[in-house]
Amino acid sequence: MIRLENISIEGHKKEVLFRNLNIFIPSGSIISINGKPRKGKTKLLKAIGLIERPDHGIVHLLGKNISKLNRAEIANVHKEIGIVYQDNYFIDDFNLEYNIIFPLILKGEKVIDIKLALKELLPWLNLEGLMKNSISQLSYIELKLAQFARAIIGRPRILLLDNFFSELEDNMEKKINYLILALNKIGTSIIIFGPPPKGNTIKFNRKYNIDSEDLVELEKESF
Amino acid sequence: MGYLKIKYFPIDINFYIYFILINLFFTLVFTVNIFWIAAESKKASKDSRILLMIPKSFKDNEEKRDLIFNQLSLEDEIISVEVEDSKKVRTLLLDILEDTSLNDEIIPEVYNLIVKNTKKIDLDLLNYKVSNIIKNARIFATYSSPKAYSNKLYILLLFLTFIFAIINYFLVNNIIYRIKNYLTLSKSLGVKNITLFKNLNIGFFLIIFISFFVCYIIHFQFMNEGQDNSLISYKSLYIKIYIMYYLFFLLNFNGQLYSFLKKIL
Repeated sequence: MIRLENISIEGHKKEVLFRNLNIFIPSGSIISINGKPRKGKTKLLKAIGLIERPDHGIVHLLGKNISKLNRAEIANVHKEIGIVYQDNYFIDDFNLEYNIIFPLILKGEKVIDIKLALKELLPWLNLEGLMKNSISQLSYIELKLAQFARAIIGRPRILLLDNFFSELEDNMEKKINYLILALNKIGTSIIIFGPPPKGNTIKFNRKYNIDSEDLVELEKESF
Repeated sequence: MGYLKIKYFPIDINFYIYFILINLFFTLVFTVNIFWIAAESKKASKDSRILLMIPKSFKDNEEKRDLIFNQLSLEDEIISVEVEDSKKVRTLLLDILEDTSLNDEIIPEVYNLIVKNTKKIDLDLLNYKVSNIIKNARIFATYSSPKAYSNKLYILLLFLTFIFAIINYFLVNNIIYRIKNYLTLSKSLGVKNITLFKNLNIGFFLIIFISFFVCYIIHFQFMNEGQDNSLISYKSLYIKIYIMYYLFFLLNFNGQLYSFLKKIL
């Protein structure tokens, strides 16, 4: 589960994006959080993904109060989170394959398991032929898909997607939806920041809109 | 091989080649400089001698000379006493006195004192003891005056250390910048700090070791193999330089890495 308690987040220019935000997301939920640009979607994702500390308030993830954890315990929570960033974020000195698998290697996963996971995942994302390519040789969409592969290859319990669906082709979007549903079935909580996928394959538990420094829940009928 | 790169060498191979070359350069410069200083200081210590001079014309010569030797044998730092060849002493005196004729009777007996460490000999105390036995007997030390460039070598070493420290700081800074994404992504995906510290230290240890090994081969290939003793002492000095060099890098690298990782949640 994810629980935000009196969270306040400021933007780069010290403008208040969220003030005393309280939200509870049960395990295994699929949530959409949308809003106008520069309203704080990415900042909120970074707070939930433990990339940045919120300016005020407490983040509870997987039943743990993050502010009370030491670095090693925070690393253990990080293991359970998969993130697809809005900006493609890669290691330029690694090829695509290394960029996808490097967290698993560093975490000491077995090589045979990593190869198996990669073999299962790549055909879904049409990335099989690109594994030896360098990052500079790949298109924006290919990098988005590679980020998605990197985020889910470790089977996270929380998956955060930032503005992920905006430029995906319909065919690829369907495949991604199936992958998201498969992850959700094994208990992963998924939060989609930005525009949600167009079809109705994914049934959202809740949808929020960012308004007046808070999250406003949309009525089920308006989904 | 790929997994080794991911774990231990996350930067482009060209950077590691450049890093090895910089290390090689500094290692060569440092070792040449320090070896030079060591050789100069060894030479100076080899040239310095402690001599005992006993005038000949006095009563009870033999007896009093033995008393002096007995006294010297009590000194821990003095290993043995060797008599200097009287002809050599005569030749030296003739050189100084510009061929003035000298009677053998007035040429003093000269003994070379073999000591453990010339710096630990208290000449004033010894002279006091010796002159109590024979009034005009004297012990003195001959030091080869340090060459003017010896001091310059030390200044050069200080200057090189300063330059090395500055370059090393920026080099490490550049390493952290290059692996910034690697560190940030690793952390955000649950890799522990200790794993990053361990892996990166192993990687850079191997790289520095390669630089030193190449430098070692270059150095000792060209050194005189006949001087076995000095070669052994140079090799131990080389290893000391290596350890100092690595410790400095280690401190700098881990300090900057810690400071970077501290900023990431």
